[in-house]
Amino acid sequence: MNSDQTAPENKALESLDSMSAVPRLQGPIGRMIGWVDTCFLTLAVLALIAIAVTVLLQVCSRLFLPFSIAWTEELSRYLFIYMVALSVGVVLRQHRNISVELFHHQLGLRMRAAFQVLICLLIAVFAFLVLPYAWQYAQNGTWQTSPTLRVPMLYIFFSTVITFALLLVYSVLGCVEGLIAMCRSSASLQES
Amino acid sequence: MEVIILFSVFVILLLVGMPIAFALGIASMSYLLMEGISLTIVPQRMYAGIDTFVLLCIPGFVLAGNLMNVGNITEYIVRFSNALLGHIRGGLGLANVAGSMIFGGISGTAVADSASIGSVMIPGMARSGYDKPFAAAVTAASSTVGPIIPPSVPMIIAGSLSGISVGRMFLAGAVPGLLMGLAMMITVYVLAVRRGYPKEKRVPFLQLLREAKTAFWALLMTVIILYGIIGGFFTPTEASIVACLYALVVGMYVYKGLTWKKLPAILTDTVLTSSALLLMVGMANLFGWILTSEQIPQMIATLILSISENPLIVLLILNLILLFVGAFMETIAALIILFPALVGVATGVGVDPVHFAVIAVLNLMIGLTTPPVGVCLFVVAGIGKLPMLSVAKAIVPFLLCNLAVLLLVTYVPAISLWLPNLLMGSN
Repeated sequence: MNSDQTAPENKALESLDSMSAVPRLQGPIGRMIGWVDTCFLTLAVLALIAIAVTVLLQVCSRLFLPFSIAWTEELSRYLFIYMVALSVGVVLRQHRNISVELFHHQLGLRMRAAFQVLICLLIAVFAFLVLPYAWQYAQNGTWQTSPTLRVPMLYIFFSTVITFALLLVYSVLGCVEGLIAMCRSSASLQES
Repeated sequence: MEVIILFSVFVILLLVGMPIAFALGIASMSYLLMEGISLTIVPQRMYAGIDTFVLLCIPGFVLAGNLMNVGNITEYIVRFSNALLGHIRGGLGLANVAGSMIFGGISGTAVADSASIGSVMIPGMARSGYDKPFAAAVTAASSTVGPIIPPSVPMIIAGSLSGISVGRMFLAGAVPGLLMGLAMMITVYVLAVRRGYPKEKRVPFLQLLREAKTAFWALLMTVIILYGIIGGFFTPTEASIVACLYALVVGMYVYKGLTWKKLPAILTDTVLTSSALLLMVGMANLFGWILTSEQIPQMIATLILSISENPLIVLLILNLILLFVGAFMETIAALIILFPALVGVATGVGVDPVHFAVIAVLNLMIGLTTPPVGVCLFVVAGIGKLPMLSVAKAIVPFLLCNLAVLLLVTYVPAISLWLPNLLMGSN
């Protein structure tokens, strides 16, 4: 019963995202990318679990223990930032970003692929230009430490470097996949 | 000049289909490059936008909703509201609205609500003899109640932007949410009588009680969250995580749809949903920083106040702006960009910021069901396999009804402020 119900609901959400029609890379490279995706996602999920545990610890210590723990708030925030940073690449690849789509669902596969190339190219340029500055920003944190955990802020600010590096890699990947889809569909003519 | 380019780049990118987060980021970058400001501002503002303890409740509430949802909860909620209201004329329509209201206490977003309730209700209503576009329209319209009834992601964002306590914001949304649900039920009933929609058989009282017992656990989650926050036991973030724990236990041992095997998929989905949202929050923070440094909020304020300083008219103008933006923009992004500027205008003419936050969220929610780009319309049209136009036509009476509620909430502050003032004391 449950699987019957989730099917139309997921399909409806997927149909919102017209870009998911562009095929991903297959073969050994595709598998390797899939493996990397899983890696980052696993790390992000672990961060989420760690956040839950930390926050629960904070609640318990305040409600049931005679003392409250000071570092939980900070730790959970940093885990949270890393959760976002580690998953931005997969978010991009799985088209989970929120966008306004006015006409994309009416386009053929080839045009969709073309739009994906354009969008990913722009994101790649954006990430490429910002990346060195993110590094510079992280460097600013070398001499600062966080208030309660005493972690050098370099490690925390470094999350922005990860964010933009992942965006760069995954947007280039999206570009390549879009280009391949364009070539394929012009070769095999009107498939969608 | 640079500001005009900032906005044009942003709008063009949105039209091309660029994810909102990057449309904000790239537009901001083009502005920074033109002004010769170092791009270090980009990671810095992005980081600052995400690094807030309050925002941590977003993954918390998303996870709690996902955990609840997997345990067949939608079905239980729908069964309960059918048993409760089905015997009235247009009963399934009424049950759809009621289901959305209960569901709203679990999930914080309207799109999830449309998808879950819609996938059960639209086929069900069509089978019972309702016309499909009507079924889809009821689903879309009623799902916008979800984010007004606590817990609510937009309210969390509005709270974190303006420094209002999230607990107060949640409470302020409760009565307007109930009011909106009630108004939509009346609309359904009137339409049902006119068009002769069927009524179901009344269920025996004992069965109603049984259905109530299963739905009770879902309702209890909302109560725990609210009671915990208002009673001062938890902060909203802590409440969201406690809700996850609760949903985990209920899903595994009461509803029994949740198994350890399903957890990885749920966690992954939660991470992806919240990261997409938070990346947008970070980029919107950058965009907002530019607007502030260009003194755009002050310009908007002066412009609006130059038209009128009468609070009634100012509120009307603010409503029109928000409705317009809400029809085109994603809720969270719209809030982050507009809310800080507009709340200043509102408080300037003596409107309570909590009251204004409710108005703003209500407006943006109505935008979700306004053709041509209302996201919820797309979702229900997709589920019902209906042409967009038929749903857009069927939604009109509900839009009018929601606009009427919006006017009421706008001009009667007590609707939103009474409950928080009663339980948390007046500010």
